[in-house]
Amino acid sequence: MLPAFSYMPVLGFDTFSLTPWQRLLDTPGLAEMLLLSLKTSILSTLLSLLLAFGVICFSWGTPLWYKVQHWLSPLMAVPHVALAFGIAFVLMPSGLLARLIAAFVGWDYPPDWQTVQDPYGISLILLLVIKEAPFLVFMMAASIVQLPVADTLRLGSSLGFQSGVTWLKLIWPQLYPMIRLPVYTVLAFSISVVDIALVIGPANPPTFAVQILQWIQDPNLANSLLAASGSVLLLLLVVAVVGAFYLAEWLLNKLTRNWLTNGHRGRFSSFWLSLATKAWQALLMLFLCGGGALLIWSFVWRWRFPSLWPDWSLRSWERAWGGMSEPIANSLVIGLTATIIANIISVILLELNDHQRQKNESAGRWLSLVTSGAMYIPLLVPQMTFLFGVQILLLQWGAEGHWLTVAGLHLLFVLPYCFLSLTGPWQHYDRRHSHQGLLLSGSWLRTFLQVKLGVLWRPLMASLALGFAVSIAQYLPTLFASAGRVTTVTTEAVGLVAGGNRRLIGVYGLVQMAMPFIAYAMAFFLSHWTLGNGRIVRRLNS
Amino acid sequence: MTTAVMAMALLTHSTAAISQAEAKTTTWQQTVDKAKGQTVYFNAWGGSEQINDYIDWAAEQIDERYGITLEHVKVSDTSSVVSRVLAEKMAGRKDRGTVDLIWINGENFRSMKHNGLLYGPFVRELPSFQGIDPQQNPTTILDFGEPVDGLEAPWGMAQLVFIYDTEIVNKPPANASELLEFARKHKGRVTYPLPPDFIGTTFLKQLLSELTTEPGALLKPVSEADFEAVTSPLWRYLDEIHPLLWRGGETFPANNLALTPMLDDGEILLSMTFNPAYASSAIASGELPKTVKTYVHDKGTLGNTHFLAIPFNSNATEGARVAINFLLSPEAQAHKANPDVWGDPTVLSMSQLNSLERKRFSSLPLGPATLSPEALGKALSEPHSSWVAALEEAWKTRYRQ
Repeated sequence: MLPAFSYMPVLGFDTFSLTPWQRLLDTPGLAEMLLLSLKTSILSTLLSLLLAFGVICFSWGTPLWYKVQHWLSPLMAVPHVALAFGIAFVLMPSGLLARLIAAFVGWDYPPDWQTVQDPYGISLILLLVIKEAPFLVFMMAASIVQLPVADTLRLGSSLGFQSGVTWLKLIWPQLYPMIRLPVYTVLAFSISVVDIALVIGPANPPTFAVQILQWIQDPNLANSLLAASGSVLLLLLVVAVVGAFYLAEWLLNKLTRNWLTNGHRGRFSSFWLSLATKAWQALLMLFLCGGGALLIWSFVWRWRFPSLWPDWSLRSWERAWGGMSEPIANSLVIGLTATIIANIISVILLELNDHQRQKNESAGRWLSLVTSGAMYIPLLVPQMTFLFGVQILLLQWGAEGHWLTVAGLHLLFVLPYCFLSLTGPWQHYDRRHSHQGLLLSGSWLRTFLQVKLGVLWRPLMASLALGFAVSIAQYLPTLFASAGRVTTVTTEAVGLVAGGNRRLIGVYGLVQMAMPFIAYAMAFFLSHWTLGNGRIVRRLNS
Repeated sequence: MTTAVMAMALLTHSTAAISQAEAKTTTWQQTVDKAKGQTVYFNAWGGSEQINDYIDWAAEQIDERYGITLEHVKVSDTSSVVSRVLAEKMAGRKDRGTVDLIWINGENFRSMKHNGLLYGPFVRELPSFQGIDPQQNPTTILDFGEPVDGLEAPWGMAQLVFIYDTEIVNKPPANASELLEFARKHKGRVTYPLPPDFIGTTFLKQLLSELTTEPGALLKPVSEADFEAVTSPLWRYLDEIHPLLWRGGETFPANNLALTPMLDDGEILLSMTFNPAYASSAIASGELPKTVKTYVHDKGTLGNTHFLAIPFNSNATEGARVAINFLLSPEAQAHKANPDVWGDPTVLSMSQLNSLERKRFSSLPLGPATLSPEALGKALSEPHSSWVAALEEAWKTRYRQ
């Protein structure tokens, strides 16, 4: 925080002053950048929330729900930079969509469309929704099982409520407080995100977080002070938005109390719910097309607009392959280390919580609240603010540039996701299994390993895969902790943006996408099959 | 007698000269010995396949000949390396720095020099420096108006060239005013990279050099000039051309390489680059059609030199110097100048080389889209580096929506 107040002795700025703040306020387009950041984050969060809720309302308890659940993992696993490229390849003026239209309309040149990097940030919002809505669906699904939804719905319909109205009036008020923190993390993430804003966000002016990165990287070193005060302002912005959300929640609560209890059974059109499902399907389509576009470009040699059919070639893969083994190995080692440690820590914390709760209900409840609250801190504080400080610390310790440091920093961001995804299953674990085991074996450890982990094997595998996916996607933490010496697939991919070579972006994007998918596939395999008597057999509880 | 004395004197004189040269080679030999086994972290922009492949080649050669491991740390923006070295200084790290060798010039160099972040002077001790003639190439000792003072070694030359597709455009614009006419005729299909991108800012400086009524003022620090008076023709020009540009001049592509696929798709008609051989290598890698060519403006375009420097806290200064010396050698420079490899023009002056070394360069192919040195013409001098920040600030104030 000190440099924010003009204190940076090495550069000769050794007096405290407000000059950086003065300069910050004089930045051309500051208001526009801040507004842009606010707009993209609030709109994307609200849209994701609406979409997630709509999808859950419409599909809960129907076969559709299983389909939605199937898509959640891949949607959450895909690294957002690769996704941003894929979607840009579809939407840009010379992208797949425009080529399709050109084939019918007969355009010779790409249209002057502002479909990506548009000044309003629409493409950025769209991408954030694709990324955040599945996360919110996932969190809602985890919370909703704790509510008596089926009973409530039956009760509602017996009283003549339409199901949509039951959801809105009876379930939502219970559900929202449970997903409040995830909503705030979504808000904080979308304000402070840098990598996808670089690829698909507006450029002139950019969002405020991108501007801070540009200040950090500015050769004029006095701008480091500007970056420092900027990152403090970014933190304030996050606090303000979260506060505003809380206030809005409270107001809405007050205002709608009457409506919630007025007994109107409502004529809540199912049109809106099916619209949410349509939007969900549209997002899925876009997601698949994006992946397809990356695949196509990675095999392209020449593909000028408006041709629909490229000249194929393996050259991009051949060229890229040699330089790729090291980043792939680094990503694997770092991802696995961070994920495994994160899961061990999560399990230990959850066990401690359980233990505490058995001894003393209220103290245990309090402890688990504190731990899960603490888990949200790395997700809520803007990465830029946080990492600026971390970099200086690492330098003082002389720890940067080693893969273990990178893994350690990844751990900070992987741990919360693993912990949160394991919390639900741990709470729903039926303790009678362990009691039985304890009676039979007499050993707490054996019971834990053979019974409890056996029962909770699948969520554990899912959490491993999720943690790995989170680690793969980290860009800024890798950059700051590695001093550029440890390259991962993600840092290479973002580095290539500068080169603008779509073929190579396609190759790296695909590899980046493939790694978490492989992790998910392995987790799926491990959770259903096991080695028994030297043969692969289906697990009992799968 | 006198002849004998004279002969003696001559002899001693020449022995002295020989021993001086010997001393120089022995100290250099000591450096080479000390460098053996060192690992040099070379922080260089990693956005281009050709350049990355060239650095890989150089690393192999250096490993084979000197036993030095050259690790290419691919960075997306050199200024982030500058800020990392700064952060190290801030944290009080005087040795074991994370950067041993950095590809640099212009503002980044000025910033490092003035903050005491560089090792040296070391350039004149390098045996390969003989090949460089500062008289002929003044930019090898004056980096954007900033004296180099032996703190960075010239590595390659750059000159702004424009790219167009001969199949779509018959006659490219030859100067700023023709460019305005061209943009009027092809509305929405001309653009330039968003300042403060390097090429974007260079394009502004190119326009300024062509349009201003006081070109002399550009060579001095901006603080000594009447900024408004010198730059007002530029802003008038931009005010006029911006509405005619791609996206109505409201937004711009992130950098010059982002222009390449846009040119390929016909989304824009002109692109620009600082590497005269870039277009040829883009044809070779399938990124541009075979019909593209390059051109320069009739009064010349801006040119400069890019350099290699060593941060103050590097632990492998010997290794870094030996690596630099290799990169400046006629062999490495000729390989780099080959358009099939990278196509980066050499910093060496042919007059300083022997005939065998000269032949390495004269036998190079030119590349299908590259201009000959005659067609490229004389490079315009870059404005003093202090103009960059001033222009970028003024541009932001005017054109950030």
